[in-house]
Amino acid sequence: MNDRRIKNLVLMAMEVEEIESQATSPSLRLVGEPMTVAARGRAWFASGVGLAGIGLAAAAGLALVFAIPAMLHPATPGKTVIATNTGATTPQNNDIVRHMPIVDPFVNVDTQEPATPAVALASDRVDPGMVERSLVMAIYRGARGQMQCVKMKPHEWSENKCLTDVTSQELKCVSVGQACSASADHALVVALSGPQKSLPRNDADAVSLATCILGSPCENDSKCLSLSAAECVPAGVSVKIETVASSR
Amino acid sequence: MDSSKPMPVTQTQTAAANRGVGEPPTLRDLSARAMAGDHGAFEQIHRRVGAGLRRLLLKRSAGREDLVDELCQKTWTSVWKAFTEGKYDPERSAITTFVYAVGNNAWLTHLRSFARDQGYIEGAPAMLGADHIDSSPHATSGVSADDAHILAETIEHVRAMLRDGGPGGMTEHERAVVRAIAAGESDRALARRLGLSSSTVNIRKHAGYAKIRDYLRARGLAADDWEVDDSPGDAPASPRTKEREKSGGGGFGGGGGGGGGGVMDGALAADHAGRLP
Repeated sequence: MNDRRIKNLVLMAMEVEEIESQATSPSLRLVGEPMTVAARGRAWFASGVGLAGIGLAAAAGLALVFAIPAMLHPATPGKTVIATNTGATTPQNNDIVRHMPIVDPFVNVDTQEPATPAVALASDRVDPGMVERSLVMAIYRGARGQMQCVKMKPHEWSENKCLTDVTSQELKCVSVGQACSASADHALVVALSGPQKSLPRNDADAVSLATCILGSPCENDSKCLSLSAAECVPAGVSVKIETVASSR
Repeated sequence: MDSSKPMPVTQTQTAAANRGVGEPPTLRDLSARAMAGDHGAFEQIHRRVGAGLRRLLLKRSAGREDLVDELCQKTWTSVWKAFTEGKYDPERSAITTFVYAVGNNAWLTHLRSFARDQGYIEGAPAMLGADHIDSSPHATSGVSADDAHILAETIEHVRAMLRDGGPGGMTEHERAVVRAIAAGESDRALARRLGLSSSTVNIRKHAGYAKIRDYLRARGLAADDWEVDDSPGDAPASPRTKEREKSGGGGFGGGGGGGGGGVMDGALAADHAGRLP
């Protein structure tokens, strides 16, 4: 048995691992090859954009209440870069909107704990979709940087702190439960905060967003990834990313 | 369990007792039920593993849905047959590995048939990548569960070694290098990425290969009569492959992989994409 055959056996073992990693997370798995640059990552948030309806203007005011402090908060040393999409260049894809399932993101995703509202509703008339929520995604990547699987769960930061106050260490220590890939080389921990309607809602949303984030040329540079990721999220959503070694 | 057998590394095979109420059954549990004739369990295995297998075959066949449908059908038929005939042994390989091996056989059988149709039969082993074909230590013909079992067991051993070094004692560095090289990274690029010299990467690669080879050989899974020249493109067919050539037997078991596009060389891949009905 020569080296080439052994190399092929290794490759086959890796392919089995890939199949298995998808088999073990049936509720959240990759659904195909990465999208093209043109299509990447716009799918998931568009579903929320199209549903805002006539309450959008009023809701935008509420979103600003949360977004402005985040934008004005000065960056401090030792914290990861936080990026917020201000909506200036956000494209919309209404074709995708029509085909995206409408699912409560805090019920459908692979969660380990029950979701609780991050912000208490001041009035029953407030659009629940505009309530500020936070969630954390873990994008598991192989040695070549390819996405293997994605996990997502709602998250409530201690003391209800906003994303700007979350330190790099806190982000790295967020638990997303059992890894969805046994062969991942490392993972990107992506913290998102914004109106509930604008956050990923389901598996497809999560994978689309992950594809968009990985479509940037940043490799493992957390700062660069955070800034690039702002292009992948809808207006009013803040994003912060850290890279962590996968705990295999 | 016999220590010479690989420990299947299915993530989901935690003991049922350790799982909470309402959690989905493990693939191992489902396999056991399917082997007892439970159609529902088989359906669940198909649902959980089928998508990954399909994606792999689509990648290899450059997105030929019709072909992949056919190959998947053959694969799952063989897997079900193996279940019902008691030919699948969960102690030897995880069900994922077994399904992969059967699917790989189906793919290679298809390639052999295609090569023959296109008049490539004399050169088929090399053109199809005899090294891939011969990765199985006991390649035989057809989409057979028997053939797949040996390949699956071999892969299972390799998986165990890649996972934690396994009984072969691969170091973490060796595993990382071996994985990266198999994934298509060059020695030089890998050396640059890891901040090592190319020679160091090369040493680790060969040390890793040697440990895998020795471990498989100790278990009778790396037949010495298959030693071939390591130079690319001139790997001769194994004795068994040659026998099959003479007898005209279709298909061959084992081997496969083929980073990205599968196990075809460029010319055959182009023909394959363009000429298949």
